[in-house]
Amino acid sequence: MTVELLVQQLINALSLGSIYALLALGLAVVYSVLGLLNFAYGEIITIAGYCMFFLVSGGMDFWYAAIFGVIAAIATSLLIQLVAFRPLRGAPANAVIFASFAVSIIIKALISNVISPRPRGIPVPSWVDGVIQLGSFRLPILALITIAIAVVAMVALTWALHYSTPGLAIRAAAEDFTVTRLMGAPAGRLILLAFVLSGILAGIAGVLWIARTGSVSPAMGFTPLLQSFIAIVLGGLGNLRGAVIGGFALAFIEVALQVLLPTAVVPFTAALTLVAVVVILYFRPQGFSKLAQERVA
Amino acid sequence: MNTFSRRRLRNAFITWAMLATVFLVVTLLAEFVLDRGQSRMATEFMILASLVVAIQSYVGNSGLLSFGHVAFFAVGAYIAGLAAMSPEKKEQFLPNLPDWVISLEASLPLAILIAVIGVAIFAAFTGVPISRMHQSVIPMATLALLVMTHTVVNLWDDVTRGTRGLVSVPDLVTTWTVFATAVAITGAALLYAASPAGLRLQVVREDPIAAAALGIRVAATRFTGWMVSAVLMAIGSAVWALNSLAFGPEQFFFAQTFSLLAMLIIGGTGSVTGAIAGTAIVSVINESLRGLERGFAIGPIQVPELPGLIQLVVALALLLLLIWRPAGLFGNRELSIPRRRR
Amino acid sequence: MSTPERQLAVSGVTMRFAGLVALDDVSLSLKRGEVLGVIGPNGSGKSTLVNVISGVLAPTSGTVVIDGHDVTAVAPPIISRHGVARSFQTVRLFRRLSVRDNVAGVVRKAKRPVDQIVDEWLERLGILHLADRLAGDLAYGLQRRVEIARALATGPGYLLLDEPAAGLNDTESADLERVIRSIAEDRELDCGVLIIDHDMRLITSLCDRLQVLFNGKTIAEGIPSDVRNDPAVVEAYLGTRPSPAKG
Repeated sequence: MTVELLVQQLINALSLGSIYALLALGLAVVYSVLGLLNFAYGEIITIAGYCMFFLVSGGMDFWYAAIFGVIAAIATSLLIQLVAFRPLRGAPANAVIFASFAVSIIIKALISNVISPRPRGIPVPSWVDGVIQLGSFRLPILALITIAIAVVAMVALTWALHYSTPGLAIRAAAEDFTVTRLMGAPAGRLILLAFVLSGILAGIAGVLWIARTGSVSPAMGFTPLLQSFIAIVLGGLGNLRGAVIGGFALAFIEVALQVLLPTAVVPFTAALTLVAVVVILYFRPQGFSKLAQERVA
Repeated sequence: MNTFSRRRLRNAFITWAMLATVFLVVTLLAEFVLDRGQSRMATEFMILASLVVAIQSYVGNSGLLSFGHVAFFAVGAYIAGLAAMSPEKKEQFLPNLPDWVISLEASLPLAILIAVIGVAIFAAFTGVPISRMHQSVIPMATLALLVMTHTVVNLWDDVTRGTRGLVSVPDLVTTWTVFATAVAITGAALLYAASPAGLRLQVVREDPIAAAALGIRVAATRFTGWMVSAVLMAIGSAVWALNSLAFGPEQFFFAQTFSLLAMLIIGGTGSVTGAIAGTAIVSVINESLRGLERGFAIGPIQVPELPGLIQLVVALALLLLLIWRPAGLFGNRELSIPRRRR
Repeated sequence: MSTPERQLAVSGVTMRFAGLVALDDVSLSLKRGEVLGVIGPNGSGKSTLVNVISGVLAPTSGTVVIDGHDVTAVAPPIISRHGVARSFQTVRLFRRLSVRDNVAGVVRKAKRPVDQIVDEWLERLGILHLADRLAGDLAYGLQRRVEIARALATGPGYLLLDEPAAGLNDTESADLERVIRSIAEDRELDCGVLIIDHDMRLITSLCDRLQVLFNGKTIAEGIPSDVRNDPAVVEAYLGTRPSPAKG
């Protein structure tokens, strides 16, 4: 493999990893506050996608539409909290999990019935698909944009988590998962804030994801949900830094498998990635996190 | 045997006898009273109830929602279907199968046995990593398992015929075999819940940290429950397959998962009785909406075909029910005789 | 080792959390049939000590040896099988199970029918009449008793009680004292008891020996009357004069 190719794959992995990291952060923020995974998380991205689809079809510029996509994501995240999580505070975890799964099913069914069960394309501006030629290196513009946006978002998030009071509260909840759990149910405002943050992160990641795939479909939310889940498990649960590490780790595993595997096996990359993750978890049940000191069995 | 609580066994037996009576009534109605369509519905109800009870034996005792049981369902159904299919049909539809699979033509008990072995191996491989995970991520891990299984079933043309599905599966099931299956699975689920292993899983459900401190191996206990319920699921799936005669990958995906889990959650995950009651309720809703889904008229207004209607209605009803009763209709209560005063 | 000593021995245990030293070179030993009290103000490392012994936390250094077996950093279920049972500072019962099932669920081996064993423990703790109630529905003082019955049902050689009297009124506290003493004195059980508390009253009247922790270090140990009057203890821990012991 030439240096050029290696750099290209590295950028590819970094940009995919940026999306995964943002996605994982969005899932992890709510998880760290509530101790529950939001099974309707993928649908936040779906709704953002369809919002963009209609705006872009109506003639709006892709990146303006993206702003509305993020707003739609925040609204969806809040709606999920209002419908599935808030009425069920204190209920058994199974009930809440299933409620969020039900919301996911309802959103998918509504889109299939009202709009269409088939995928729809979103035209992405053509310059985005271009490359910058830098000496012998070909740098895809979209990948660079993705990395830049993700870095800005993560720096902003880090700043907010360190220098604002609600941010500090969320960080306390995330960093010291067990202790916060032991101290009882978190305040309603903290939960609300976590869902807003989750919506913003999912929205930004969703826009980048859609720019990459160029289409929307009712079931499009599932892959982002699964990838962000794998990322937070890989990174060690209830720990925001771990979510970012896990996101990048997952992207590197995926890209490496795509490059190294024979072409005949490429359709099974997703399955093999999962196998790789299970193998890692077998040897390191706590993921890449070294924080977990409390053991059960 | 001393660790088996006589008291728990006695209660389980009473519940079993009562639930078996319910199944007996349904079977007798199906055999002697109902018309063919209704009788088919009654049979399907008992098969679905068996599957939901099998799921309950894990979800209820462990407190961990599992989407992965539909993966067991798929594996069990395909294995039983392939085992029982006649060699000629296999030659015709699945010529690329290995010869020893083609030449096999299993009877009902043999098909069930092979399905149980296959599902048990599958469950053992998946159960080891899943049981070691933190309880808050196990449900999502089982969802990942379901999706991977669906992908494989969809793509493995030589064995599953991909999206076209299996056809010409022989009909080896009578109403009475279905009755026997439902009674057996219900009995096994109740016995497991009453056993020391089942009680340990309930203990882990309530507080894994305290349970571990008191000597209970959390992962091993969860793994046992996973295996028990996988085996029950395999039996139910095999009977389902040999009653359905043709099926495809879409029958083992989100819609099915949602429907089976809805049955369980509506009735209450905590009890076998709840699982069966929930199956009855959702089956009735499904039947009454099936007509509406094909489109209907309110006066002069023609409502068009609504393919996702059932799912939507069940999902909404379920959300409302959960808000009203988070533990489902039955909670942890089983059907039993009123307690004697002391 | 020729004849392993029948005791629970903690030697030189240090536990560091990011930047914070919770335990600093702490040692203790507990024999069968003995009642040892570990006292210290909040944050002195008492609960960390229980968590290290029961395997919830792996110590940074030091060893835990039970009856001659080194069980340092071994997982909690295995430590339990070596004969250590514990209660929790905040009662942790299996709330949606009956009192009876709380106890039955942890019985490992049974020479007699398990129902009988469970009833005997409940009887001994005076809660047999509550056997069919859900554990989570009981009053706090009664929950404490269920927790002790449950710990005893594992057949422990060493019972660790983490602030057993917290949240109890005087009568309940006195009842608890009787129960704990009867356990320690029961030759058949052959069980040592380690009580962790910041309240001197219960502990001084009950314990054979006391050990005082302050900022993660042992600052005094010995028989209760000596420890109570130890100047270092009075100054560092109590700040004021100790309350007179009862009984």
